[in-house]
Amino acid sequence: MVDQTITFTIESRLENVALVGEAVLGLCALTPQLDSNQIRMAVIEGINNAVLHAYHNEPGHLVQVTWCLNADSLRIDITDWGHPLGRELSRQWPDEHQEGGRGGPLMWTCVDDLRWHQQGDTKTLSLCKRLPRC
Amino acid sequence: MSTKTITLTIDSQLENSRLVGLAIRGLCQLLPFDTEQTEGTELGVVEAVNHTITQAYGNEAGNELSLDFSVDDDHLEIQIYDTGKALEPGRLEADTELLPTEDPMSWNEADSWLAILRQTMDRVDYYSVGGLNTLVLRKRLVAS
Repeated sequence: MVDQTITFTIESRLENVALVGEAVLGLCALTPQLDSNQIRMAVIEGINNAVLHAYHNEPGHLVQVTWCLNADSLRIDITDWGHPLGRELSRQWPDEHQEGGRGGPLMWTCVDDLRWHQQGDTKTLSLCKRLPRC
Repeated sequence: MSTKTITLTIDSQLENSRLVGLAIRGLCQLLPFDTEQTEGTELGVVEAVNHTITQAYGNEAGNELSLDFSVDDDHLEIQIYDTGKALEPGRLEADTELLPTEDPMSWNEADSWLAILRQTMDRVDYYSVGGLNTLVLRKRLVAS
């Protein structure tokens, strides 16, 4: 199976995040073996992180989401050109009184692999979900 | 409500038009569309994307095809951009009203895409400026 790829681009406004969420949910018709709501939740959380933390909720910047499906896995890359997050995305849920820090563990519950890449100003969060063998 | 816009970008391969169609179907869930309107919008966009790939790009992979999906209070507007071969002037005004609606299988490809766009959209425009071709599809979100 050849890679199938489509890219979504939005301006960094929270009201645009749902657009990507619904588009990704539509594409989940191609991966019925995966939990579509988990995929959407992870993508929305990743984009929210970019808008709120990388861009400090400031409009006028771009967030790019690349959806790529091959025979083995679904990979979704969320790219921004904002401020670095400054920490790894932990799998551990924070103390209940701690503010923030829940995006990482939430995304980890939805995907099999989660990693950051940075090249110059370009930062990409890669979400990967393996496709179960039939 | 301010305008919300998302840009979809694919490589010019016919198999990618399915990805656009599924994404458009998903996006239509945010709109006050019934099933028929959602399926019509998906069909119209896929026809337009297929036509762009086969006619503007001559079915040649490696070209970028992008599409803006914008929604405001009253309208959905979808703009499909390419930098390939432009439509012949006046092509959009071709008389597709004469196509036999009872026998769609008899339509030739050159005419059918336009007939489908007219049936599924409220307005279709096209312009070509400086090598950038733009097909504009509009649909009202509320009954007039």
